[in-house]
Amino acid sequence: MNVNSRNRHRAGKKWTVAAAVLTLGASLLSGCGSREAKAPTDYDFYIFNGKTENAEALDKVVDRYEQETGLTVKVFSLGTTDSAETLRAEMNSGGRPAIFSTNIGGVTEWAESGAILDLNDASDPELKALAQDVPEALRLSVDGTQNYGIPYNIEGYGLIVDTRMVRDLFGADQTQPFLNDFKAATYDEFETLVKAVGDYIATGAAPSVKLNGRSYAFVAQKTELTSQLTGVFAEAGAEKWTYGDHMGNMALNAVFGSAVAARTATEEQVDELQAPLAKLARTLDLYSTHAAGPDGPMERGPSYINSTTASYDVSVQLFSSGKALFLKQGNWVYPNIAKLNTDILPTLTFLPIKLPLEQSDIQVDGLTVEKFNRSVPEFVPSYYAINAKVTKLEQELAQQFLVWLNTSKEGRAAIVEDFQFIPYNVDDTVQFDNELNNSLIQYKLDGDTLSNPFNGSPAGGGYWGQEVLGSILQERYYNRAGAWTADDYKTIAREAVQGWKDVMY
Amino acid sequence: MRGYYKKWFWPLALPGLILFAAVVLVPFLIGLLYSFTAWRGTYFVGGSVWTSFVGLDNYARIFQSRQFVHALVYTLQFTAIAVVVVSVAALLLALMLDFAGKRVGAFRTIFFLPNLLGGLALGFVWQFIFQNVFTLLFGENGLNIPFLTNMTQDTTKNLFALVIMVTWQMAGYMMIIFVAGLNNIPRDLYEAGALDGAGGWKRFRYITLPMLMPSVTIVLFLTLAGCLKLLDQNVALTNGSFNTSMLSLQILRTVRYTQPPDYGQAQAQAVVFFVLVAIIGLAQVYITKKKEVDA
Repeated sequence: MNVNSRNRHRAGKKWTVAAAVLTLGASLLSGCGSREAKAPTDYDFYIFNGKTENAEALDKVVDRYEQETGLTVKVFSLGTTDSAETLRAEMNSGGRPAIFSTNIGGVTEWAESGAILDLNDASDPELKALAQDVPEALRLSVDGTQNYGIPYNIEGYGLIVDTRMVRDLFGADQTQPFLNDFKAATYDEFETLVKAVGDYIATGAAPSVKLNGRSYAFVAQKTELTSQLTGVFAEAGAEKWTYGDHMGNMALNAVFGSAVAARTATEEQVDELQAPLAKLARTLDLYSTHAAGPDGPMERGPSYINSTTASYDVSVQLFSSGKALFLKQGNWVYPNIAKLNTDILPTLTFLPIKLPLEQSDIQVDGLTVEKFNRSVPEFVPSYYAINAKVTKLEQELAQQFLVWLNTSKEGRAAIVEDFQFIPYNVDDTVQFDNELNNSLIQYKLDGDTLSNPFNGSPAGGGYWGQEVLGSILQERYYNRAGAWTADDYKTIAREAVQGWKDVMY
Repeated sequence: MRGYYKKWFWPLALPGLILFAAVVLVPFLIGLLYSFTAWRGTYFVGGSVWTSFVGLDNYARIFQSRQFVHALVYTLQFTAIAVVVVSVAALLLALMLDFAGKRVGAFRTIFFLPNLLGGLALGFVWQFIFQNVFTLLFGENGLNIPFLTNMTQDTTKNLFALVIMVTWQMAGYMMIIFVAGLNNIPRDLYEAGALDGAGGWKRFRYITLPMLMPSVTIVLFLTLAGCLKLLDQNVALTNGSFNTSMLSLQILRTVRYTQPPDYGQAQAQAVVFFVLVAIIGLAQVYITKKKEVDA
C-alpha cells in the first residue's frame, strides 16, 4: 500500500467514524424529545419537595400516609436555592415526580413546557374544589387565569421586635399601647422614633416621641437589656436579598397588587415605581444610619457589606443578643434565633415596615397609605403542583395525596404541628408556640397584609431584586461612608427602574 | 512494531474515541444545534427542536447584553495580566530552585502545594484574606496602601486580587514544567557559552530561553486556557458582585437571570466562548511553536 492510498484509506475511515458519531448524536437527540410517560416500578408516585424546612417532617407524614393507604411514595427534598436545576434534571429523567414544588417565579417555565396541570382541569373533583377554594390573591398562575398549585404555607416578614426591649425602653404599662400605636403610626412618627432611640442608645436620654398621636417617654435609666443596644436595626449588608428582594418588594407593593400584576406590567407601570423606590431609598438610608454592630453602631463602608461582618447570621446574632431593637426578617428566622437565645422567643412579634409614601404614589386599588403602613407582606413561598407528564394513575394518586394532606384532620394537623407551617387557609383556631407565626396569623385575620410583587419582577430575586436593586445599593451606597442626598434617592430609583426596563421584552 | 500498530490501531483507539465522542463531541454538536433554538433546559418552546428554531437570534442578542460584553472584556484583561504574572513567577521559582541545592525537593513540594486545593476552597480562604487580613494589614493603621484594602469590593482591585490568588495557585504547577525543561538543557551549552565569554544574562537570553521554548508553549497554553475559563475562584471571591463576572460565571448566570431559563441563549454564549478560547489558544501555540529550536 503506497502512501497515497493509505491516506485515502484513512480518510475513508475518518468519515465512517464521523458518520457513526452523527448517528449516535441524532439518536440521542431524538431520544430527548420523545420519551413517553412510563409507569414507575418501585413506587406508586414521587414527590419532589423543594423546601428543606419540612423535609424530615414530610418523610414522617408520608410514612403515615403509606401505612394508611398501602401505597409506596418516593420523597426527595432539596433546599430552595439549589432545587431548580435538580428539578429540571428530574423532570427530564425516566422517573419524573408526580408532585413537584414550584413558585410564582418558576411557574412560567413549567406552564410553557406543559408539565404543570391546571388544577381547574384536575380529574379528582375534590382537588379541583380545593384548588378553587384557594383565595384568588394566593393562587399560582402565569397571568391570573390559571390555578396551578396548592400552597405549601404562608410566610411573611416585617420588623421583628422583642417586646421586653419595648418594655424596658418605655415602661411596662406602655408596652401594649406602644405596639398598637406603632402599627397605626405614620412614617414621620416612625422616623422620629428611630432617631430618638438612636439618641437614647448613644446618650441615655432622648425626648419623648409620638406614635399615632400619643406620647411615649423613655425610661430615665437604661436597664440591663437596653444598655446592650448598639443600634436600632440589625442589618445584613452582605445579603442583597434582605434589601433588594424584601425591601424592594415593599416599594413594588405601592404599584402592583400581586406578582402577576408585576409580571404583566407595562412600561408606564414600571415607571410608576420611581417614586416609591426613591422613598424606599430614604427608608434604607434611615435603617443603615442606625445599624447595630457588635460593639457600637455599624457604619456604612466596606465592612458594612463584608460577608464576614455583615452576613445574615451576623444580623440574627446581633438581634438575638439584644444589640438591636429591630430585625427586618421573616418568620423563617425563628429556628435561627432559637439556636442563639431561647429567652427572647416568647416575646417576639412583628411590627410593620413603613415607607414615606403619599397617596399619589400608590397605584393599587383600595390601598391607602394608612393601610400600607400597618400591613406586613405575606405570601406563598412554594406550591405543590401536579406533573401533567406522568401517567394518569400517578396523577390520580398524587391528587388524592394533596386532598388528604390539605383536608383530612391528620393532614391538616401535620401541616401545623409537624411542618410548623402557617396553612394558607388559616383561621383563628390555629395556634403555634412560635410567636412570629402567631403574629403573622393576626395580621392575616385583620386583613393587614401586602403581597409579593417582587416575585413578578424580571426573574424575581434572581435578577431584578438582587442584581439590579441589590447591587446598586450594595456596591455604590452601602459600601461608602458619607450621607445620601435626595438626588441619591432619585438615582437609586431611576437606575432600578431602568434595570427593569432593560430586560422587558 | 509498525505492523502491530497497523493491526491494533482501531481496537486500541476505539474505546477512547467512543468515550470522547460520547462525552465531548456529541454533546458539543447537540449544544451547537441548541444554540439556534429557544431551548429552556427541559423543553423546547413549541414542543420540539425544530419548532423552536430561532435562527441567529440568540447570537444577535449576545453582544446586545452589556453584562456579557463587560464579562468578555474583564476576562481578557484578567487573562492578559494573569498569564504574564503566572509565567514569570513560575519561571523565577524554577530558576531559583537551581540554587536550592539539597533542599530542592522540599521547596518544589511547598511551591506546588497550593495547586492541590480546589478552586472554591481556595477562593473562600482568599476571600477572608482579602477582606480581613489585607484590609487590616494595608489599612490606615497598617502599611496604608489603599489599593490592597477591600480588594473584593471594586472591579479593578478585584482583577488584581484574582491575579494574586491565581498566581499563588498556578505558579507552582507551571514551575514543575519549567524545572523539567531546564533539566533537559544540555550543560555543555552553558560551558560553551561561558568559554565564549557570555555572562549570566546572556546565557539566559541566548541559551536558557530558546531551549526552554517547548516548556513556554505548554505553560502559556495551560495558563491561557485556565485563565480564560476561570470559574470557581470567581464564584468564591465575589460571585460576580461589583461587575466582576468573568465569562464562565456570566454564562452560568444567564439561565438564572431569565425566567423561564433561557438555555438557548446561554448555549449560544458558550459557543462564542468556545470559539474565542480556541482561536486565542491555537494562535498562541502557533506563535510559540515557531520560536522553538531543536537542541
